[in-house]
This record gives sequence, C-alpha cells and structure tokens, in this order.
Amino acid sequence: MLKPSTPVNEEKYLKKNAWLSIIISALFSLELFDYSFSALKESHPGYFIAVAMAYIVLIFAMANLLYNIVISTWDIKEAWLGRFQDEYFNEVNLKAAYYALGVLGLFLGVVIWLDFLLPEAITAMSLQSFGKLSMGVGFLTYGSSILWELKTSDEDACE
Amino acid sequence: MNNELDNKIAKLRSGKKLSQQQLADAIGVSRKTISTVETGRFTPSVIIALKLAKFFEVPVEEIFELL
Repeated sequence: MLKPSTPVNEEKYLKKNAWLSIIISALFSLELFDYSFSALKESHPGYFIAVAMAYIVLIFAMANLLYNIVISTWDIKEAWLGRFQDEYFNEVNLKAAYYALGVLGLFLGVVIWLDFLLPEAITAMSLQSFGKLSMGVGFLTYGSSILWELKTSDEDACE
Repeated sequence: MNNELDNKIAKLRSGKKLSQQQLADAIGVSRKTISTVETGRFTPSVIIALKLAKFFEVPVEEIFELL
C-alpha cells in the first residue's frame, strides 16, 4: 500500500532529491576530463587516490540517497513527476526546474554565440565531456535552487 | 490595479494564539507554505485561501486584499 503524501515527507523528498542532484552533478564533474585511470595511477598516484576516494564517497552517498528515496517516498511516480500535494513545495520544485533550464540555456547560448569568452579548457573539450559539463550545470542548478528556496523560507518563519 | 497581495494571516493567527505549524496542520499544508504566504513570498491558490477563511471563520476578503 502506498504511504500517504504529507507536507513533512514531501519536504524530506525534495531535500533528498536536491542533494541527489548535487551529487550527480559532482559525479559528472569528476568525469569531465578524458583521463585514463591506469595512466593517472602511473603519473600522479596521489591525485589518483583522491579521485578514487571521491568516486567511492559520491557513489556511496548517491546509493544511500536513492535507497532512502525509494523506501520513504509515498509514490515514486508522483514524486518523480513533481506532483506534490503541498502548493509551496510544488512551486519550489517547478522554480528549480525553470532555473536549471534557464541556466543551461544561458550556458549553451554563451557557448554558441560568445565562445571567444570561454576558457580553452571548455573549447578544447570532447563532445562527450561537454555533455557531462552541461548535465553537471543543470543538476547543480536544480539541486542548489531547491536547497536555497527551502533555506530562505526557513528564514521567513516567525512563530 | 496592482497585483500585489497583502494578508492578515499573522494577525488572525496570533489572535487565536496559534503557531505557524499549528495553523499548517489545521488546514493540511506545510509550515513553509504558511510562512511564505504570510510574508508575501508565495501567493496561495483559491483552495488554500478558502481553507484559511473557513478556519478563521471570516470572508476571504478579510484575510487577503489587493494593495
């Protein structure tokens, strides 16, 4: 039987979803550069250990969050589609999606029309790495917008 | 006509000695919905407006007014 949707579990879901987006964004950032792990292990062992540790921590955090979302969410399909009972959480989720789309559009606009402003690290990227960077930008904007909105509404609270 | 909305929720709530959480529980929304409506950061739907009016036993126009 599905758990009932309440403002409390909807807020928890939104927060977990925001952190999940930020973690996914960090994973995409780690994947940005087309390095070979075996070559990295040989040339920069310290850096290789740091990257490997970051992967382990991020993947563990992502799996933990996903598990938490699956076991505690009232209805995964409804939540995934952003159909919240609480109007404010609905607005926060929609706003975050608009911001992510807006920032991604702006970023792609800069790449298309103002490419001379971009650092060489971006212009020299492979198509695959550029895709990862764009996904990272989108996920980071979505997750951080939700956390920011929830934080500012906490500051509004006055009993 | 201006589209900005003013409301008297905080005043009505303190008149009944209720916290934001208690009011939120009474009408089935989150505390954040109440706090953001009170401060004008979020404009609620007619449904929430009517629930508030029913809870405080006053007409909607007594809770919300256009500036």
